[in-house]
Amino acid sequence: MNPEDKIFQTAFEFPIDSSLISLPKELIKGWFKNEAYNTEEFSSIIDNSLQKINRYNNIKCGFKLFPPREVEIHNDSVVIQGIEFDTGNIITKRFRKSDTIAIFVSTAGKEPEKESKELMNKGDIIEGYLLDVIGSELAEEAGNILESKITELLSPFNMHITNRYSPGYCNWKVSEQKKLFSLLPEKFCGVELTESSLLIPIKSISGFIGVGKNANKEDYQCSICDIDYCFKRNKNE
Amino acid sequence: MDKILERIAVCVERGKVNAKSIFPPDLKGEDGADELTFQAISSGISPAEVLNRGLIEGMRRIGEKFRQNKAFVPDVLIASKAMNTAMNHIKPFFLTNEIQSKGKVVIGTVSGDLHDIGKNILGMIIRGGGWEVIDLGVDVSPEKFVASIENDSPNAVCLSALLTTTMLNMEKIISEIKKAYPRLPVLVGGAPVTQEYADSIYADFYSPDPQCALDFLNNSITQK
Repeated sequence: MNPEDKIFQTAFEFPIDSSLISLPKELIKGWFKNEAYNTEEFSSIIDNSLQKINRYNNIKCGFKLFPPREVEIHNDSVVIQGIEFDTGNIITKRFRKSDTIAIFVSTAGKEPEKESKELMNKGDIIEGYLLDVIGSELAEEAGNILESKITELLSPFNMHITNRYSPGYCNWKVSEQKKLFSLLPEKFCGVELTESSLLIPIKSISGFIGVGKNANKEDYQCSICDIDYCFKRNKNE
Repeated sequence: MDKILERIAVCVERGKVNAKSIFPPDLKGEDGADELTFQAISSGISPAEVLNRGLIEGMRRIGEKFRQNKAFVPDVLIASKAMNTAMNHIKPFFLTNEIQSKGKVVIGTVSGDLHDIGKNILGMIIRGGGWEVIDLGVDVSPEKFVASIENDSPNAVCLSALLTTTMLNMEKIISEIKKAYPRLPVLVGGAPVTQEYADSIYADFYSPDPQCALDFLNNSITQK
């Protein structure tokens, strides 16, 4: 099997060594907008919480890349192996220069969510919320690491990637997670889907990345989408 | 009297739990909601005054700020902790009927959904507004809501959902509740929920934020 065929026929799964992850403190601080948190003491609470990441050993990411012949990219939908995804025109437009699609999953594992709940139940509200935030950011960071890994794997073939896009954003329905997971191996990266399309562990993300010789990344353009409760919009504004 | 009640309200609003609390930094070393509530009751101020003009007032202020995007999730969480800590001094007076809650509200995140922070904040604001809250947790089935209504006789039920997929389960829950309790108000809320959707599933009230839900309860519900 030549290397390019192998890339198209393997579901790649990568455990992530948590000691290699460094979430910027400012990223976490950004969730605490009240200036009451602008103190050295709070800063050291963040440091302590960030150190807990070292104990998390179920942070993973992975992807499956489909051969271009199995993928059709239309104006507002994507078809993979005959399964049609209503990705909507905002997202689909971002794939217009792509030849194919990689389906990705990344997860922070169960630990941050579990520890966050334990702290909250103990009354350590701020520390608990901090770990909840860290869990969300870890899942995103695992997604960033995944993008680097895909880029690295594809570079010998002169293929590039787009940003990653997930069901739930830019009018792509969350319920389409079911179709998405139907194209991945069971419990891929340790992530499962509930009947209501909720990812378990909760601190996980999944979605599409466009791949192709002319594919490219773009800045997130929140102005073209009207979902005001979006995680990325709230972060970017 | 007014001064200490105002200080209690400020401590709750700003999340100053007790003297040891490091938040907010400008009140470091000062007494918090815990100590001030104890002092107020010890000095003879009625527990009802302390509750209504101190603790509930503080939660009302933080709830209002949250509605206006001037306060954020951690601010409400810490304010609620201040309120709950101070409530330990008030609770005994509920048992002796010196003060009474405004009524009971059952809350829960709907079936299929495991998100609890939004629902918890709703519970904190409602509880902080003087209502007894029965929190059924997350992934709550229609049957569990109906069973709780049967057992607890609440004045209202609040349904929360974070996903467009789980929001759809609100319809069945409302339908089951209304079959058995047609006049019991059911409130709905959560990121993807809209007034239009609330109307389409026959919810009695759509609450875009927790303070709205509290306002509805305070203005529309007659105690049983």
